[in-house]
Amino acid sequence: MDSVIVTGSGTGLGKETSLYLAQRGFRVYAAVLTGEQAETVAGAARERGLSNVQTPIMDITDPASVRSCVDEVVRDTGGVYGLVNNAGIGLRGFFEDLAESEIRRLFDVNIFGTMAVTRAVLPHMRAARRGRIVIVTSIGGRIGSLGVSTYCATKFAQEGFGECLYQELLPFGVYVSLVEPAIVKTERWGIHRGVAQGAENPDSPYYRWFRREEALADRLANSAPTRPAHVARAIHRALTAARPRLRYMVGRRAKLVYLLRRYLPDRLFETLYFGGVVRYVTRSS
Amino acid sequence: MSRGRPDSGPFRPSIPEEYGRDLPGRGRSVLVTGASAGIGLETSLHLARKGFHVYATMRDLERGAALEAEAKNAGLPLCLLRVDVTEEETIRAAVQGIVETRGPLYGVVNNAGAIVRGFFEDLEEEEIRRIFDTNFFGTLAVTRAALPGMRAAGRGRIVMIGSAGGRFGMAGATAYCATKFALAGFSESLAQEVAPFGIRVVLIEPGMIQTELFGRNLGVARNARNAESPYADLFEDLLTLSLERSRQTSLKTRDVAEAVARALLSARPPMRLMVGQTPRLVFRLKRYLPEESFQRVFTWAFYRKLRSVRQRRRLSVK
Repeated sequence: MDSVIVTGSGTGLGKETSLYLAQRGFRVYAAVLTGEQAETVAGAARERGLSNVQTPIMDITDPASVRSCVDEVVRDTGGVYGLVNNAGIGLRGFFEDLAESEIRRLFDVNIFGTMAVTRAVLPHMRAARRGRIVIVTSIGGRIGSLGVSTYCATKFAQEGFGECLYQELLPFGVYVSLVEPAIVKTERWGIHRGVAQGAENPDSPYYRWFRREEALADRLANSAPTRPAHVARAIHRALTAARPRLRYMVGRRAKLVYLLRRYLPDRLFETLYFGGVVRYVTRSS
Repeated sequence: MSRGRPDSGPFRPSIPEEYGRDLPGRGRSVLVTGASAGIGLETSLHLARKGFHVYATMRDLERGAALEAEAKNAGLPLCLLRVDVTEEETIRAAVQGIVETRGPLYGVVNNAGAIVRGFFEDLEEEEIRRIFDTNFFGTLAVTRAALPGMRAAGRGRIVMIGSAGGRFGMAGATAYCATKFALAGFSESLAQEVAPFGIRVVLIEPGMIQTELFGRNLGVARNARNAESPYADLFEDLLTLSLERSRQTSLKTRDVAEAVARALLSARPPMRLMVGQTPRLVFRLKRYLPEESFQRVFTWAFYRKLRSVRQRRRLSVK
């Protein structure tokens, strides 16, 4: 049974993916941040009658924690077949309202954390001459969006990282895939979406626009047809296909917008889509 | 020409106030980072020629001699300032100095950047963080300092010098590409946020340039040439290939400087502007071919090229 590490398994997408993969026969290491999350995930696994889910605690921003978790998997199973880089945080607010410390924290998790876990598993995959690295990015990694400038920057960076890594690892039989979901409605959306402190300040010159943007995001999330299971299915494909794709886009809306971006002339797309968003958010109401 | 030092006494820019009024730049102030060499140097001269008041900033003023000499030869007024984009204090001092004496900045050219070469596993985290500090966080800091003045003025231009490496990833340049992709995502988002204030954000994406970071600054990661690295041979081939390409490329810093001028002068500049025929062609392939096919062909062609470089290297050793 091949082992797969799924980071950020304590909530939403990660939890769903861990269970989905376990049901399909992987030995899953659902890495979580706290003991409480570990119990929740273990409980959910028991409920579904799954005995192949471990819930190690790992903080991807702490190299020692990453190393000890990967070592544990290697000790138990003799290697790591798959890594699903799912852990990530958000940061919402117009750029001038974001504090440098908030942006640093975002990069620590989404970029440097992803890189740290990837770095820790790669020697094992190269030694086995097989392996799969999946990075869960976002449609925000293909198209920038107002109100989430630095979040999009981390997602774009993950895309660039993934493209390079794909090329670097192909000779070693290790495949890299990027899974790009549209907005998915998860429990996280309601509880903690990562709004920057400064964005809540009514004196900000962007305050009114930010509120409108948030209302729009809420509407999109609530009406989103994409479910965590759809993302889990794409991840499963990336892990099991004989020749996995570099990119899996999940969600019809995301695909449509991306198609427009690809095939419309740049100017037209800028005016229609970006211009449309700006006009919507700034129109006086 | 004088060297303004806002940290030592009152700041008196050396550019005559009336300079450029009759030229396309109309004497508006533009701050350029990383102006001591390459694209930054060429851009500073070109913008001065166009009639902008250019504040050419660099980390180390000692390295400003080349720019100073060229400006003097051409009879162009320039003001050199010390700015280290990773030290917020130096950014604030420079921007404040300019704004207090000459009014709001019209444009910022975020050019300061570095490269680190090496396959991902050979890069140390600290090396990756450092290149993010310069290429990404530095750009953010300069942009943050310039925006309030531009908002107040109801106009402005933020120009980012990205790279073709922000459009498609390349093995052996993982960290560099990640920073340039990040810059692209940031620019696209920021462009929408500040457009209502009359501020335009333009990302310039040049391909490989003749001088590019090769003369002084190979930027090879500490462990990239370590014989024990599983990538050591590949990396040597890649380095040879990159050096060859940097000699063959027809793209000049001047081409980028002209694109920057366009971004500053055009009434409606595009959000992203690729410079160079080769990257434009590659990007067109990426865009219009089925994406997966593109990736496979691109990767296959890359390794085929590396193999031919290796054969040539072997021959030349014999």
